[in-house]
Amino acid sequence: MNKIIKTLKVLAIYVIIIGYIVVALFPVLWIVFNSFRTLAEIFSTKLNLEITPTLKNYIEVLFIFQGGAFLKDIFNSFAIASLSTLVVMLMALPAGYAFSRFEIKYKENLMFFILTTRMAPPVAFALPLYVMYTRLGLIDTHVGMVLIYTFFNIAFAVWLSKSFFDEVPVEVEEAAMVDGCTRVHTFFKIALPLASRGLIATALLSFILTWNEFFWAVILTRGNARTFPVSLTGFVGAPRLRYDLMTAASTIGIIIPITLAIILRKYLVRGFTFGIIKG
Amino acid sequence: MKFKSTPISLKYAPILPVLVFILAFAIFPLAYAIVLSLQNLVLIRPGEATFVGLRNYVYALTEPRFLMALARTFYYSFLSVTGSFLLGLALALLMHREIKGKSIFKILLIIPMVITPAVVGYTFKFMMDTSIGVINHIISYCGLPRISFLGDPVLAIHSIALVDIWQGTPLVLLILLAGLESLPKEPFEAALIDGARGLRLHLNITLPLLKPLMLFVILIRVMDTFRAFDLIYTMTAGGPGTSTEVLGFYIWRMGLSYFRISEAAAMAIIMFLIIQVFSLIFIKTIQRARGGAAA
Repeated sequence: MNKIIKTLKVLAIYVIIIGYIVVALFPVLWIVFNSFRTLAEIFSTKLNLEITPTLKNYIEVLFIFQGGAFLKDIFNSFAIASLSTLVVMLMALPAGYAFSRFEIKYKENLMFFILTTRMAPPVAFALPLYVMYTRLGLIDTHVGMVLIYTFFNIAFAVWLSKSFFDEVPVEVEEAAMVDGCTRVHTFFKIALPLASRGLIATALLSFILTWNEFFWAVILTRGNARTFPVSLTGFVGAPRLRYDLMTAASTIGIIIPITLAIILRKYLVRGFTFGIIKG
Repeated sequence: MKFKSTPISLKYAPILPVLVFILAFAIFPLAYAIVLSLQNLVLIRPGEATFVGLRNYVYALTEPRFLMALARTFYYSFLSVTGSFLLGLALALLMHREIKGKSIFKILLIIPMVITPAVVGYTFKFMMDTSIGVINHIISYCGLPRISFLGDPVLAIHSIALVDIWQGTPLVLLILLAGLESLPKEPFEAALIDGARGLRLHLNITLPLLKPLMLFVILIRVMDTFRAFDLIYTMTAGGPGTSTEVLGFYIWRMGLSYFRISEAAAMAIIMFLIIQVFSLIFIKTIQRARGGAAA
């Protein structure tokens, strides 16, 4: 009897967890599924799972709709996310290392000060930055976007890389320095390689966050430097309701963040919590 | 000892670029926002801006639409944080045991977390559509009347909160699960010997141990929901009427759609202060919960 209750309990737990995962994944599957359907199937007015597999939505969104503007936006996203990640890491790696290793005055305060810039509501910076960007001619430029995303990512990148440098044993570095290595040498030859997995995860996460970012892209781009999330507004924003194009574009756009996230899954929770919590 | 002998220049040089960057992109804009909020600048109106004192703040705090947006933001944040927290906590407790396929479940849960919020917004707008949305197809298949999730002024904000719960829950779940898995074993063993089981074990042992982490998760979620913009913009654009205008969205509309920059700046400063006060209280509470240890 006891055994039956126990089996039932385990079964119930599985049903709940799997049920939840189905709900969590359904919207993603629905988008991908619909991206291969015909217009009539997508706009069906009753429950209907028919599919006549087609690539028409993809071809139209990539090459035909507005002369292939979406493809250009995807390239923009890629270029802007890569470049800003590079700039972020060039600044965050030395800073994270310094915060991890050196005795710096007001270290805690400085670290928290950096973090508050990320926790503050972006709209507070948006108005003055919009005026500044307009005056400097940075609106809708790639340089402007790389700069804003560097700001957007720098705080968590510093925190996260500090937490990864913290895990490199100090003794290894001390030994190297006793052997005559300079501090700069130790950083490149010992700390960087030993913390490399976590640091790569930091860079990938910075890429994902930039790739997905919407608020700044809406405010600061028009067409030239427009990124993928803003591209979507052209399909479903009034007066258009092109769910056929939206599903195909979305499917293309979410491949990169999902793939990268699965690669860095071990570090993801830590990344999303700025490295404050290890997970 | 080596570390103390590091020259000052080498210690501070690596941090300097970060600080300069933050100065340029956070401190200077914030100072500029305060200046703007004391002027009467309208971007599309020619002519010099003049100082008007605290008029914009008085305007903001007496304007019903702003106050409504403020109240709505609290309400939306409350719904969304409570929903995702309770769901995430319950699922984390369920998953915290030996179950087959746990690592696969964890990988699958990452997916909703990292999907572009704009995609999430448009996907749910599509799925919640009254005539072509799959959720309504299922509802009507069950013989129930179709629901106007985003077209009804009362329902719309709740529908958006539901979507935010959908996207926010996996992070709560994964953080709390990681926390549960790293809790010390001893208190549990002792309690088991004392005969504590199930819910009582959780209430007496698990939850108190997990408290600092739970507070931290709530803090992250509050910050996240308080600056809601992407879902609002993509799903309803503040509508129907102004029924889903939350603070971030309304300030953006005021400043960059109506170009009333100065009034918007005053509102943004008010919002900034609310968040700062809130996060300060929260961080202090977390520190106290950890027994004074650094957060």
